[in-house]
Amino acid sequence: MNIDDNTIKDKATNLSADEALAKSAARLLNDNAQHLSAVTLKKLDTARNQAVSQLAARQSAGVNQSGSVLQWFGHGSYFDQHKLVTISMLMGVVLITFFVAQQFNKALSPVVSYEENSDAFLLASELPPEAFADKGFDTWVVSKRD
Amino acid sequence: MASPKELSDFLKTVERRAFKQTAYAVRDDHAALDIVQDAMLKLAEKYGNNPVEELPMLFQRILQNTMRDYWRRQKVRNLWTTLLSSFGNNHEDNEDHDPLETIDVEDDSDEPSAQLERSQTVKIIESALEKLPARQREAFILRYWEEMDVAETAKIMGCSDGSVKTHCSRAVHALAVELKKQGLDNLGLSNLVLNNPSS
Amino acid sequence: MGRFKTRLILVALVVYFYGNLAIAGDSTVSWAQLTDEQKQVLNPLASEWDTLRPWQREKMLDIAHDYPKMDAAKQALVQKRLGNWSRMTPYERDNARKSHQQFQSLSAEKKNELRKRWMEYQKLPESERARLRSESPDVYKDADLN
Repeated sequence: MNIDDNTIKDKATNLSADEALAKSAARLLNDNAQHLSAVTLKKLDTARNQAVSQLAARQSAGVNQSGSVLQWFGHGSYFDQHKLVTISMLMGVVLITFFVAQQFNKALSPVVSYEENSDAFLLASELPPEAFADKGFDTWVVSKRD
Repeated sequence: MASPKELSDFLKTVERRAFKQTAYAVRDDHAALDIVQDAMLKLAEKYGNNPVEELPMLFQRILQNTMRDYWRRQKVRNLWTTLLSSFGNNHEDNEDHDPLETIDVEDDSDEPSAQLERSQTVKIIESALEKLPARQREAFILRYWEEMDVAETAKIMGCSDGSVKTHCSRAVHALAVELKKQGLDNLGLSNLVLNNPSS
Repeated sequence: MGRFKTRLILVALVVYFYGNLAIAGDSTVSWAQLTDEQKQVLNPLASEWDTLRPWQREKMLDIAHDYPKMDAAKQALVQKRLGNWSRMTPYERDNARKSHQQFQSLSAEKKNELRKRWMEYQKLPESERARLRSESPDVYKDADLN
């Protein structure tokens, strides 16, 4: 493309030529993104499954379906008449949800609140956290064993 | 409310390009994986109950935010290899990488020469992309790769519609200049795209 | 008991229980808003606290929560290692938790042995450690953890 073309042609045309180039470039990048290494694909797989199972657990625990409870307060007289029943039902629902959620929480994050398994105790253990995270150390110890 | 299956399907479609896009931005494959993993978890955690149509935009926003947090913490860690330096990138440092990482899982079964040409072209494009200023690269990726509209892009980038358009036109222009300098033109590129019809 | 009072108590109860559901654990509390005890424990993170994601802050607050349960020696270790811990990626921390869990199940002598091995490992040249890491089936890279 020589300088004369630039001065004669419309700026808009230039932009759309550039845009076409950019779009083609984007398409190629997109196609290329499909070809990742086996290791990377496996890690993405793992990450996705982790996220999905967290969602599944959260949804079956019914955590985020709150809110409707407070709407009950709008229905004045109905609420008054059945006050005792309503209160106990409400308490029941809340308590059950609370305990079910706690169970899911423990299942999902086994290392959160238990004594020796929490992050705090990890940090205070005989080895620094870098030791636990270092895969080279892991490999090395295994190799020394044999 | 998105079901686990819907979340899974969505993530499957987006995860590979999310990884590449992040890798271009942070120039570190392992950090990119962590960031994508992070973003997936956050999406499930915070927006699992949003309608499935909102997930693409929400995911991109989380991804961009997570990348920004990564950069900020890199600054705190005082590492030299951050995006702020326009010179050099991590690729040269990664000589001792896992051999498994170079195995291409999806074999094109194209002729070797066509594949080589394509991968060289892609490398040129990738390097041009990495040279862009961060905001321009973001705008380009969101508009031309993710094909989000201006309003969505503005929401994700946290700026005005006008800024999005400005960043975009600058990105497009800068990329065009660089690609042409490297000897690529649109005819050549579209041929490559046509010859490799995937997804 | 008036209608209003009953409603208020019920709302308080619901809020209390739902507030305690730790699954949605997410803290947007800024550094300035932490209690003095929390600030004292999390002091190494003071400058970066506001850059941490809410769920990362929540994990750190869990550590602060467990901190008072420890003796002074353990507390000192936590303080020393907290900075490094926060700068590790979620992936690395997760690996560390898994390794630590296995570590916990070892006998006292084995733990001691591993501690010695860690000292030796650190004397290896970085190139050697990098090679070992790359041999691990679960490869990752983090050069600055040493």
